[in-house]
Amino acid sequence: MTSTAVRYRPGELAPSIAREVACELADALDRNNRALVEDLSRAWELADALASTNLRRVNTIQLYRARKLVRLLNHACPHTLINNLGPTRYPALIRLISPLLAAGIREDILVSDLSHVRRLARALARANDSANESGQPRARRIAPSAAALLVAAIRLLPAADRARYTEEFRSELWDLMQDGAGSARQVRYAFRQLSRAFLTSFELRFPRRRGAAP
Amino acid sequence: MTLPTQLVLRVLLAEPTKEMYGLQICAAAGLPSGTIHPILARLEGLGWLESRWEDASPHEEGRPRRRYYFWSKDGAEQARLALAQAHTSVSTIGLRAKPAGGLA
Repeated sequence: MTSTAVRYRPGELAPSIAREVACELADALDRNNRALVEDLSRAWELADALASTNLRRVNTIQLYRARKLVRLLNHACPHTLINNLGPTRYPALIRLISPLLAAGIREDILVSDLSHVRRLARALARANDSANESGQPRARRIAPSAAALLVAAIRLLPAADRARYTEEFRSELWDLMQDGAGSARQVRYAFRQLSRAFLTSFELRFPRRRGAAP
Repeated sequence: MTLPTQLVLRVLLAEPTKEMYGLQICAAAGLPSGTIHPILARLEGLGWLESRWEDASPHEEGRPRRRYYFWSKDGAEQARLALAQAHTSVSTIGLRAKPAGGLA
């Protein structure tokens, strides 16, 4: 596996793939308010379905790369990922990682970013479970897990814009809370911000020229 | 132009002189909360939208300041033209718009 010709710094390209995973998770959450663990499986199933049409194109080298990546991922995130990354997931993985491999990105950098998304996803699942199990009237307060996810989202934005978005996201979270949003809804809001932070960051770093299509 | 972007533009064009904050635009456009900032950042980058903090003090209001978005000098006109063009393109190739709620 090549580890040379890395044309992007760590944290630049690899997050775009992490973003894909995060967006799938966010979309799954949009469609279904159940526990994230179920949605995680659904997100992978969606990825599988998308990738299944390319199954015949998977060649030996891609399969080797996918297997290696699975081992790295399982090493980075033991336990919960093992069931999610069986051989049937390889086509989905290949779809996700092929742009990175083509660009010469190192697998360990990708694994690091994906692992970050997974950790956040597990934190979200715990928060979601707690909210579901409590059965108590929802107190109007900012959910700490939502605030933590927003902090993670802010870190992905350009340094010059962080102060502005910190205040803007905090304001929106506060408005949601005042609107009666419980922990789960606040976390979903924050997770969507996180999943789109890469895109927001891209728009802030590379604004389109005037006259271009939006 | 993506459908969420079109929805945002239509909401803002409905009352061109009104300033709106992100969550308010999301709700009016029927988009999930938390999905709109890439679109707003893009429109600001294009120079179509501008934004400012609300005047009220957080201490007086008892809540964090909101960020309000409004049209730049020629932003609304450019948005109308772009929307008309997008509508024409879609009509020409005979595509049906997908329902809202996709990625921003």
